[in-house]
Amino acid sequence: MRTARIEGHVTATVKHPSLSGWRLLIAQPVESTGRPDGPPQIVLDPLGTAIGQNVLISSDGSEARKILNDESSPARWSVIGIIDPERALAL
Amino acid sequence: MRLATVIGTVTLSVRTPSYVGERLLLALPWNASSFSDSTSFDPSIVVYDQLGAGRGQVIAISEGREAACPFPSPTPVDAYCAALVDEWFRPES
Repeated sequence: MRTARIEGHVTATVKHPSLSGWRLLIAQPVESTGRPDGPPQIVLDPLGTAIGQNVLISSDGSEARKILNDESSPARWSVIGIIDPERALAL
Repeated sequence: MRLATVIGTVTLSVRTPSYVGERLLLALPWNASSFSDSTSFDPSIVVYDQLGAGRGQVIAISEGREAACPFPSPTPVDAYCAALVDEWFRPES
């Protein structure tokens, strides 16, 4: 799992059918000091996160396929939790 | 998935039997600076496309094991064009 900051969202009309109706968010993985670490990922959001929130994202593809209920889906990254802003260490 | 900009296509004359009617894109993946610097990209990769992306279009690519999931039979694909991005919204903080 990686810590990431939600920075925005993308819209796409033409896409794999499994993604239809799902929010696709731009999540920038950050390391513990909050510095960007790696490329921004487009992630599935089943939890309803907001821009600016620090979240936990997972690259478990089987979790993404379970969320979308489609075994042929190419989706991989998904938001699995929102980091508590009161108790976060340094983000 | 990652964002990438399509810069061309790749044509094969001899191919592995599991590729049937493939369309391959040459794409530049975005890195953390790509949103602010329009010339900053990661090294190019080849992406399997079933959505009909054009040159200059921004796409969302799925990499790794999951890129092979949309195919009914085992296919050697590790980068798949999952979406044609219409627009992105990313307010500067």
